[in-house]
Amino acid sequence: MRSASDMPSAFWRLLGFELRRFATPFRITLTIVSLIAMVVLARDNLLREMAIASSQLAASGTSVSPTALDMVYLAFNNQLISGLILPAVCGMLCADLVVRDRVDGMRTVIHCEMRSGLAYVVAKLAVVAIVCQVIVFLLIVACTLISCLFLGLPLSAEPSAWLASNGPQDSIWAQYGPIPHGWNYALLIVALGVGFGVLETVLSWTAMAVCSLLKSPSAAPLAVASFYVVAAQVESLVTSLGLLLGIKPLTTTIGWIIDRLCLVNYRLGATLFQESAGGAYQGPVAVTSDIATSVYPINSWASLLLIVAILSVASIALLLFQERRCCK
Amino acid sequence: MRVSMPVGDDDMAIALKDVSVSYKGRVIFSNASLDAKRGDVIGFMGPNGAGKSTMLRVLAGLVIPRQGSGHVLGYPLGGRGHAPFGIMLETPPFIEEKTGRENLVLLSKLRGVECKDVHAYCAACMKTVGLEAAHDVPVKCYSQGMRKRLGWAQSLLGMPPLYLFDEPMNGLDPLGVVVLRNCIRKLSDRGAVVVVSSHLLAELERVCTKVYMFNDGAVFPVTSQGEASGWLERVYVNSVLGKEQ
Repeated sequence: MRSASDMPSAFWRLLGFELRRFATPFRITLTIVSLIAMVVLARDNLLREMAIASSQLAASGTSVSPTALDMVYLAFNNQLISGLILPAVCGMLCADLVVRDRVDGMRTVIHCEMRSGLAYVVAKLAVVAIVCQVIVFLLIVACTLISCLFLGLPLSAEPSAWLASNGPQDSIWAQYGPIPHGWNYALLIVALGVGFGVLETVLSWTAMAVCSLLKSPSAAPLAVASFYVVAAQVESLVTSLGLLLGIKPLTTTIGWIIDRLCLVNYRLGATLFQESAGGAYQGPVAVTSDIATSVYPINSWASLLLIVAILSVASIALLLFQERRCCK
Repeated sequence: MRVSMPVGDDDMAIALKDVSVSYKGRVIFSNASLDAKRGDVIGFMGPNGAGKSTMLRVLAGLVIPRQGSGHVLGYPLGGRGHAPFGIMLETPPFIEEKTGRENLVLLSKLRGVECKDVHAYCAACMKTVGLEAAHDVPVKCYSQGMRKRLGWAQSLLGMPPLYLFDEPMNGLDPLGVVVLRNCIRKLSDRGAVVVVSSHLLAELERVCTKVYMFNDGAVFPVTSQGEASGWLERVYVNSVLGKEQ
């Protein structure tokens, strides 16, 4: 039997323990239902975007030729999927990981087996990271399989022509950001999967840290769901108010909460601090001269990195503080 | 690495000297000293809130005393390392959706118990505590007594050299009490140190080799002067009432 002071071994044992007890009926049900919902929405989103793009391309005699990765790429651009459902589900799955241990006494049992509060916190963070990355990749795999098996779309390393552009100055086609020419589509999807996995991880760390202050573990998923539902309304409420009162700064559709979690409000290939995109329409589309140019604001990558950094540091600090207080 | 820090006798498995614990300004106990050899069964008795559970937590390393010195199985008090031990909490927590055996398997892996067949090992532990019929029943369906037995089985995982039992007999039926009593004796015979905190003074009389009384911030050993059974109750009542007078 190992000594309770063997920390690296204690960390791996705790990580294994946390992963093994993660799969509760609530979590399994939530994961399955939300994945189904996201895939259904992603499929409907793909068909809708194809219809919009088809009408834009028809004048130039070009047709939409989707590939199997288009559904997931568009899902990452869809505000309902990537801005609301995905972070809400990841948050709800992980929010009670710390508070439930404190309330049901399991923290004492764990503390008996390993003294290190740091190992405890790091194990919790690691579990969240693993779960969030798995959820994102399950979404990618599910969307890709549905595209291949049910829609009969081919896999391709080249982005579909209707999603590609000549670079970051092109305007947005419908509701997605264009993929710069020359980018490898498969690698891009993998990179987006990792990127969204990191984003959902940090958001879920924050949810777990904040919910560690609650008195009831069952309130944690509700709190997370409520936050995202309210946050999803903030932009439209304030924008409507701005339009009503004629306050121009309030009428922007970026820089709020949910929009920062969705790819469509960023720009692939943009520089770190770039905050606007657009220009002349390019690519295989014919437009009338009065809508030949369009400049619009985007969230900068730097702002996203800053948010991720701040949330990471704050949530880790809060968890460590709670751990020290708990074990005094 | 075990650091030897003997207090008094080097043969002592547990030796605490002048240990004091406070919580939010309230002194739980002060200048408490206790010792135990391998094979001893130590009893803690005292009124509610006197610090019995707190002392168990000190021995478990969950609470760091504000003053005092000592060691638990060679590991200094308040140090980073701690000897392996099994603890039976007053209300042991489990993963409700999982069965008793699944809980023990998870906890044995957490503890780092090394054995060829962990499932068989956990099943054997459940048999020891009389829960063999409830192997595959989810813990949420367990009664209070069954949970207590499962907590007891959990404490046995890995056969550590130190056992800390907090109100172990609460909720157990009479047969369960007898089995637990025999189990404690066997653990003692194997050289483990067993510490039992309980309000059931008759049981403490039967199993303990040494008893400590916790009362009004003080901790002191009580010894039998060869009296007939019931001597612990007399000591307890005299100690508590004597203070009030």
